[in-house]
Formats: sequence, structure tokens, C-alpha cells
Amino acid sequence: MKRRARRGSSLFGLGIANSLIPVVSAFVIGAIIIAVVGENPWTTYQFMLGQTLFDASGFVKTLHYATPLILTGLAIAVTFKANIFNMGVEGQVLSGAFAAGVVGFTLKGLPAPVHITVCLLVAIAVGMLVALVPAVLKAYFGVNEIVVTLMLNYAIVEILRVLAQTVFRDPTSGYVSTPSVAPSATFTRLFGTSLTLFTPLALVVFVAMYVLFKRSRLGYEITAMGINPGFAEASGMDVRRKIMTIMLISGALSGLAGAGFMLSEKFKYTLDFSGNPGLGWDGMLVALLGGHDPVGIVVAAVLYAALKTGADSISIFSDVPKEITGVIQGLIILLLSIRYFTRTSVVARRRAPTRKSSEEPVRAAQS
Amino acid sequence: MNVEKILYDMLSYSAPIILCVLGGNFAHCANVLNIALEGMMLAGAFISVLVVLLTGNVLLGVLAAVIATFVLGLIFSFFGITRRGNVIITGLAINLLAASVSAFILKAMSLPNLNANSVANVAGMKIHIPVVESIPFVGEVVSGHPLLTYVAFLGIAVMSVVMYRTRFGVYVRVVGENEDAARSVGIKVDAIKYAAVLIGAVCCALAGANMALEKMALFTNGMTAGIGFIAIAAIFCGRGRPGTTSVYAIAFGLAQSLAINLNLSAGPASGLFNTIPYFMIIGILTAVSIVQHKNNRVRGLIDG
Amino acid sequence: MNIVETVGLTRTFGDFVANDGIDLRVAQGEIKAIVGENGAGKSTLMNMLYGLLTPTSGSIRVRGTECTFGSPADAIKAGLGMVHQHFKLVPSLSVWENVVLGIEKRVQTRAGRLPFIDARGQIGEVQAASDRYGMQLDVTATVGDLSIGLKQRVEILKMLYRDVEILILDEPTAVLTPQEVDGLIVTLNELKAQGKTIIVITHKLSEVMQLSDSVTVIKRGHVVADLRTAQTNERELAQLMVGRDVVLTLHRDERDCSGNDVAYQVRGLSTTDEHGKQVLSDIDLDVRRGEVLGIAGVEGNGQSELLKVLTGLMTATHAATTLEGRDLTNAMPTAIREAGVGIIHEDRYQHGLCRELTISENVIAGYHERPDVCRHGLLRPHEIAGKRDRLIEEYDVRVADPDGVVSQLSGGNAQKVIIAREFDAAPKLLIASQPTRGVDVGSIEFIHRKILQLRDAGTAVLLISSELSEIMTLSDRIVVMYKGRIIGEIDDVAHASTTAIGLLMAGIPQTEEVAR
Repeated sequence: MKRRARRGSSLFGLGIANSLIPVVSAFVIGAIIIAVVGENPWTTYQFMLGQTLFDASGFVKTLHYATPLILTGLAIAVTFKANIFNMGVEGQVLSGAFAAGVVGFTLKGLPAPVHITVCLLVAIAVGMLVALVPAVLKAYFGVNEIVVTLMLNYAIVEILRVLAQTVFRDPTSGYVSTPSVAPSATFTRLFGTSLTLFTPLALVVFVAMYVLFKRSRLGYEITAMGINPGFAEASGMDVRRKIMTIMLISGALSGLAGAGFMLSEKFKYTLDFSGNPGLGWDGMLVALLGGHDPVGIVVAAVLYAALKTGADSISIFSDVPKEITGVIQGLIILLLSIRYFTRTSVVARRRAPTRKSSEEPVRAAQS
Repeated sequence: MNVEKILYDMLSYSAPIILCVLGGNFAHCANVLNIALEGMMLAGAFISVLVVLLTGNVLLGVLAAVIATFVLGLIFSFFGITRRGNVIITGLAINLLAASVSAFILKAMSLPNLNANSVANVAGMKIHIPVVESIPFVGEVVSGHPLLTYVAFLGIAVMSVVMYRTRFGVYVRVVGENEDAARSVGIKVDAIKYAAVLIGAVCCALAGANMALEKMALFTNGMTAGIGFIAIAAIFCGRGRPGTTSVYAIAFGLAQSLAINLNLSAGPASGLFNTIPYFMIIGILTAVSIVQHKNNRVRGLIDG
Repeated sequence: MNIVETVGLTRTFGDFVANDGIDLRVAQGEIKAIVGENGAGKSTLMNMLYGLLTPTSGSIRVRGTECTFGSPADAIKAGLGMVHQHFKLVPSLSVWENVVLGIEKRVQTRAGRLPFIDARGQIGEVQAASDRYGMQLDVTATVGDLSIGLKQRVEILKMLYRDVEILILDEPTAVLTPQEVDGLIVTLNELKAQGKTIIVITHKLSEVMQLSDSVTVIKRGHVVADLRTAQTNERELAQLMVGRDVVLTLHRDERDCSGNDVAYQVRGLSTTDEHGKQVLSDIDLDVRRGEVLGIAGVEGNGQSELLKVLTGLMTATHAATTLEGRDLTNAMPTAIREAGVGIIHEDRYQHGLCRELTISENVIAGYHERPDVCRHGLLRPHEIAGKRDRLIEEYDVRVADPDGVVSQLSGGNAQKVIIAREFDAAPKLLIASQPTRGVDVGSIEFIHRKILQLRDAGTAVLLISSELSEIMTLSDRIVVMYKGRIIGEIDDVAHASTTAIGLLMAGIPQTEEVAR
């Protein structure tokens, strides 16, 4: 729908500016921290981003790592836009990944496309199931979803740890891990690079979500709900059912992200599966940085994946701990919590009536 | 199953939750959603142990923790109140920063964790109350806790008085209930909100110090394990009233105590008991919400 | 001597001039009324007098000395107190706690002042003040439990307790019954007798004639007249307010609808609020085709809840609702609209519109699943823009930018968007609540005309309004609500008397038929 006044090029520019300031500031502060540790910030950043963005194979690797982040970013955005704060993406990702892993190593003798599809579908179902709990509690009982999803995250991590240590333990491994998934359940690498079919799959999902956000009825309802739930309900949008729908979509996306990551990169569930801070929290940053807009999320996912993989290699070559990513992530999110530029209120002048006296001059409200 | 130990542990685990809750109540009553209690507590835990490790002085450690969380509180308030940012995102950021900065510093110091046992005497920090400790059963439960644990329980009474009998407490509640009314009589709304958040921050510092320094003189990454969020759940359930929220805090402390103690007697699946507190909190929150909204006939978003 | 004066008082918001060089003179001990349309600038002026806004230029003089007010506290110190239209009370606190809010006294002991509030001492002081001014309040009662009339008295007492000499009241009678208005007039005269000066802001001209000694008329930010009340009349004031001859009552085609079919029927509707308290009891309504049924009553007697139940935003404990045979009991908003009901909500910005969305996005709200704007789950932007342009044209909605957002529209035009949307769906029943609240006079006329047009085309109309004049103008039949019940019915609106309806609105049922 045409929203020229709101989504015009000037507003898009506004969105970029609003995201740019936090990123630049966070990098400046990060530079200070790096200097304190005793390294040169400039060469550090050069190395981090040079390897991952400006080098062909590095960039492909970055895309590979960005793929689950695109999905978790979308998972967050679809809920945050409706003013639902699904903090449980991390738990949903892990659940989906674990389920995919279990289906991956228990089922044998299936042709690869079928096996992968089954794994993904199971993971999506599990992710949706996990998201169902806070969804129902919020929609029908009014329970605050922030606390419920956070508690579930902790609970899920514990449950999965126990499962990986007992029922689904890999006895041959020296550390806590599930058995590796069967070869028929892995995404094969394309053209000898790090990329797999998971990436194009994620892009297909991205396109679907783009259409959903921008052109679908549900997208319109999500936007309305996020701004004014009273209006949404009065316009027949059945807010409670929408909460369920939105959370289920979010859970599905998260489950898919976890499964894809499992089947294209990790192949088994370990206690540090999701990395530090975790795919869910990375997704939160990506969604916020991208302004909850699908295109923005893709861009932010690629940039953030570059940062993260760059930081991994940094810690090998220098004294800068890779935890610097977490710090920069926290700083960016902090700075993203406020708007730096807002659409200035459109104000009309008082005009002397030149038309019929029954007409009234156009006026604007203070925004 | 040692009942005395379970009750002792209940008081022990409740204390940091109660401290978080007593501070967090003010922000809740002032209608400022502060989910950064977790991060503030973690920061308090980290700084207290770090400073004790560096200086050997326990008091200095606690003081440093208070200053550190005070700064975090200022950052939260600046972004969330003065600049009218999204407080959920600001709170989330503070949590992430506390976790990542402490992990970063540990890595930079090339340490897996902070162990101040060489400098601080954990056993010495336990207070044994003279007459009470000899009372059978009660003595084992009540005596032998570190100072801040007792401060937590005494704090329930103190905070109740502050909340209901002082001007500050009235203003906090008025700001939360009707900001317009507060402004119209000249109450400085932003200042009150700042103060409410900062009280929460300071209490979280004490909670962190209680958990890390006093009990173990140890800091490991992410050791707060959601206690800050458990405190938020208690605040929601008790609607910001010091007495009621503390009761919920104690209930959650009991759940944790049971989880730990049952773990000891269970086998390899013992980790599952650790999930009891989390599910219990979800259950209690749900029950409280159901009761709160039992007469709700309005369709649409139920205001949790 | 003029106790309050403003000289060339001006206030701008960016390019928008809310008050332009206002010279106001209020004599000591008089009751002055300030009148003007919605949006004329009355509230801005009062907010400056009370320190909630600072003037862009010009000055305020109290007893001859120039004053600057940085906050309400400054104004109070200078002796100016304000009683707001939307009360600034804290429902969970008691009367005395609200009265002393911000100036609480602490417990004094021999050792010094303790940091605790001196409850006992202040309860006594506040009760004494209440008695002195004849407020008849129990200062230990919880404010949330009080009636609106009593709440207003708490607001007034709050100011008097701070020893203000000049009392400003913003639209004080908006939420009072005709009898409570009389009570207020008595109170204000009593205060005047005790030497207070009173400024009343209002748009209700009949009350201006009843209450005030002098009137100042404000139009579009300027003072257009300064008169003694005794030397003017309502018609003249209306003309000055709007600048042209205003039709105060729309000429309505009187018709007898009693022969028409009943389109909409409600039986035994009851429901409770979130505390379990009964808010609606046994409501029966019949609306015929081509008839306007008006529900009169002071706000707060269950009208909001009734509207919410009938529009699907709230469920009833008991009800039987049918529209042309179709059962709509406790139906969801979508089902209600599908059955052919158009809805104009009480609070347009809370339920009717979403300010931050564009006009297009608002124009389809509630109808966004219909095939003309939505196919296979996807919206059709071209058709939506077409619908928007057509409706803007048909309903004379003044927009600077058709692609703009609704917050850029004035109240009247925003309301027209809602009207356009609902009327365009050719409803069988229109439920309209406070359709012209906060709307300028020109748009009020337009909206009233449109409603009557809809009625003439055969739609049944259920009108809820707290403006009695609006009810009398539009309705063919009237029912009066009081404390959640229908307390009386008037079949012959043309010959009904306002006094009789006012009595019903105050809860005094008539023993015989009203005015036949």
C-alpha cells in the first residue's frame, strides 16, 4: 500500500540514520576497549571486517553464518512489531535444533531431500509448540510474555542438557554431545564453499515474510496491533487470536533457524551450540538494527555475522577476546533504544478564511 | 531429606531475590518497567568479587558493587526516562552488557572465573546469633547466614514503611498511577522515576554481593541464572507491595532450595529438578493473572 | 481592580499560533466565563495562567504585578488554582491524601521532624477546610469510590486548601447532571461570597448565562469580544464564537416511526465490570428502521459499557440481541460488522482510528477482509487508494496530504473519516456514540445531517450522547440511562421538556408520562 508520506525515501533515510548512529558509536566505544586491552583498534577492525566482508570466500562464509540470523531476526521482528516481546527465541531455536538433530541421527535410510525435510518440519513444529505456551498464557490469561519466555529459556537449556547427557548422549564423545546427524540429513556444501541450500531456503522465507509484512492483511493487522491494540480489536482483528498466530510464526521461524544451523554447520547438539551470546540474542540485535523491516534485517544480519566471525578469528590472532562482540552488541542495542531523529510534526499555519465560512482551515494536531 | 537444611537454604536463596524485589518494587510502582534487575545483579556480583580479589577488603567490594550498579541505573534511566527510549530494549541491553563485559574482563585477565577465597573468609562472613543458634531446629535454620541475608529480611519492614508512610513512597505511587496528577501538583516526575530505578539498582548490587561474595567468594559467568527475572515475576505477582512480593520471593527461594536438595539425592537426571523453580514461577504467574482478571469481560488485549 | 490581567499574551507551537495577543481582564470577586469553540485556544490560555505552559510573548499580571509561572507551583503561590476538566486525582488514595498531595506535612516531634507523613494532623485540617467551604466530603473516603460530582469537589478543595484566591475551572459541567450543575452554581456563588474570583472555561452557552458576570469570547486564538453577561444572550455569543449565523438546532423532519419494523432488538442485557460490580442491568432496546433512538444520560451511567457490549468489545452476562432476526448476542466485532452494523466509537483515537496510520489504512479498518480491498490474504493498494479518494470527496474531509497520517487531521475531519468508512458500508444499523465530541461546529452540522440522511434512507440508528441538545436534535425517541438501567422513555421528543429529561438523568423517575 502506498504510504508515501511515511515510508517515502525521506523516512527510509531516517531509518538508516537511526540505526547508523548506534552502530558508529558502539564501534567507537569498542575501539576504546580494544585500545585498553593493548591492541590497535584500527587494525583490529580492519582485520575483522576485511576478512569477512571484503574477501570473496570470507564474504560467502559470512553469508552462511548470517542465514540463521536472518530467520531469528524475522522471528523477533514479527512479534516486536505487534508489541509482543518474545524473549524466548533462544529457547525456541535450541529446541528446534535439538529436535532436528534427534530426527537427523535416529532416522536412517531416507533419501537426503526427504530426511532434511522431515527434520525441518519437526523442528518447526517443536519451535511452534514451545512458542505456544507463552502465546496462550498471554492471549487468554494476560500473563506477561517477557517473564514467561525468559523462564522457559532457562528451563529449556536445562532440559536439553539433561537429554544430551542421558537419553541422547553420544557415548563416543569426550564432552557432552548428541550423536552426529546422518549424512542424509546434512545440507551439502555448494560449489565447495561454506554455503549450503539453507541460505537460499532462508531467502525464500525472507521473501515470504516481506510479502507478509508489506502487503498482506496480517501484516496490516500486526502493525495496527503494535500501535493501538484497542483500535485493532475494535476493527475486528481479534487480538487474542492474532497473538497466537504471531507467536506461532515466530516459533516456526526460530525452530527453522535452529534446525538449519544444526544441519548445515554443527551437526550435533553441544552445550555451546548457540554460541555466545546466542542465536536468539543475535537475532534480537539484527531485528532492532534492521528496524523490524525484512530488508533491514537481511542487511543487519550480514553485517553482524561479519562482525561475529571476524571477532572469532581476531581472538586467535590477537589478545582481543572474542567477547568483544557481546560488548559491542550490548552497546548497539542500548543506543538503539532511543530514536535520534523523529519525523517532525507537520504543522499548518493559521490561515485567514478565504473560502466559504462553513469551511474550516486545515489544521494539524500536535504530534 | 534434611528439613532444617531445606529451610536454611530457602532463607539463603530467598535473600538475593528479596533484595532485588524490594528495590524493584519502586520502579514498578512508578510505572517504569525495569527488566535490567538481572544485569544489575550480575554486575554487583562481579564487581564485588573482583574488588575483594584486588583489595582484600569486603566492605570496599560491596561499596564498589553499589557504585557500579548505580552507574548502570543512571544509564538505564537516561536512555529509558530522560530520552524516552523503549525501556524493554534498554533493560535488555543492560543485561547483555553486564554479561558480556564481565565475560570480556575475565577473558582479558585470562581467568575462567574469579575466586576470592584466598582473600575473603566465607565462613567468617556467616553470622552466628548468640542465643538463637542454640535453639533446636530454629537455630539451624535462622542462624549462620551472612549479613546481607539478614538485611534482606529486615528490609521488608523498612521498605514497607518507606513505600506507605513517607512522602517519597507516596510520590512514587502517584507517579505510577497518574503521572498527570503528579505533575499538576508540582511533583518532579522524572526525578522520582530516576530515584525509583536507582534504589532498585543499589538493592541489586547488594543482592549480587550476597549471592557471589558472601556465600561463595566466587564469580562465574552468568551465575545469576535468571534470579533477576524471577524477582520481576515476584514483583508482578505481588503488584509492587513490599510485603506480598517478598512472600512470593520466599516461595521461589523455597523452590530453588528444594531443587538443589532434591538434586543431591537424585541420579543423573538431577538437572531436571533445576527446572522446578522456572516452571513454578510460570505456574504462579498464570494463577495470579487468572485471579486478577477473573472478572474481565473486555475483549482484546488483557493488560498483564 | 483587575485581579488578573494578561497583556498581549501569545503562544505558538512551531508555525501554529494557538493564542495571538490576548488581552484578558478579570475583576476581583467576579465570575468570568471564557467561551470559544473547540480548538479556539481556551485551554492554551488557561494552561499559561496555571503555569503548565510558558508564553511565547506577552505578560501575565496578578494584582498589578507581572508574574512568570514556570510550573503550577508558581501559579498557586501567586494565588491561581485550576480545576481541570479531566480530574488529576489518584483513585487509590483517600480524599485528604489527594488534597495535600505535594505539600504533605511530616510528623513533628520534640526531637525534630521525622520523615513520615503526619496523617492524623492533616486529616483534621482537610476536614475543617471541607466544612468551611461547604463541600460535604468525608476526607477519609477513597477517591476512586466517589461520584463524579464529589470528585470535582475534591479537585476544588485541593485548590482552596492551597489558599488560592482565583479559581480557574475548565469545562466543569461536562460531566454533571443538570441538577449537579445547579449544585455547582451554588458552590461557586458561595465561594464568590467569600471573596474568591472565578474563571470558568466552557462552550456551553446556557450555563454561561446562568453562571457568569462577564464573558470573554475567543475565536481562533484572538479575543473577539468582552461583554457583561447581563447585556448579551446565547445567540449573540454563538455568533461571536463562530463568526456567522449558527443554526443552533437543525430543522428536523418530524416523522412517526411507530409503524416501522423493529430492526434491532436488545433484551435483558446485563453485565459486570472488572470488579464484579453490576454496571448494566436488564437493558431492553428496540430500534426501528428509519428511526433514531437516542440514549441520554450523564456520562458514567453505563453508556460506555453498553456501547462496548453492543459493539463486541465486552461480553454481557445476560443478553439477547438480534438484528433483523440474526442473533448477535455477545458476537465478536467482525460478526457484528458483517451483519450490517456500522459503529462510531466513543473515543475516536482509542477505537475508531489509529493516529499513526495513514488515511488509507484507517479507511479500511474493520472492513479490511472484504473482497473489494483484500484478495487471498493480500491487500489491494490500488483499490484502497481509490476508495480513500472517493470517500474524501464524498464526505468533504479536509486533508493537506491524502497520503498523510490521521494525526494530521483536525478532530472534525478525523471523525468524518470514521463516518465515511462506516456509512459507506450501507449499514442496516448505525451505533453512534458521542459522534460530535471535540468537533468544530461546521463539522457537527455536517455529521448531524449525514446521520439524518442515513435515517431517512431506512437505517436504524442508535445514538448515545451526553450532550442533551444533540439527543434532542436528532432523536425520534429517547431513553434515559441512569446507573446502568433504562430509567425512562420519551416518545414525543418534539414536545419533551429539558427539565423532565434532566430529572430522569438525575435518577428521578417520572410517575406519569413525560409531557404529552
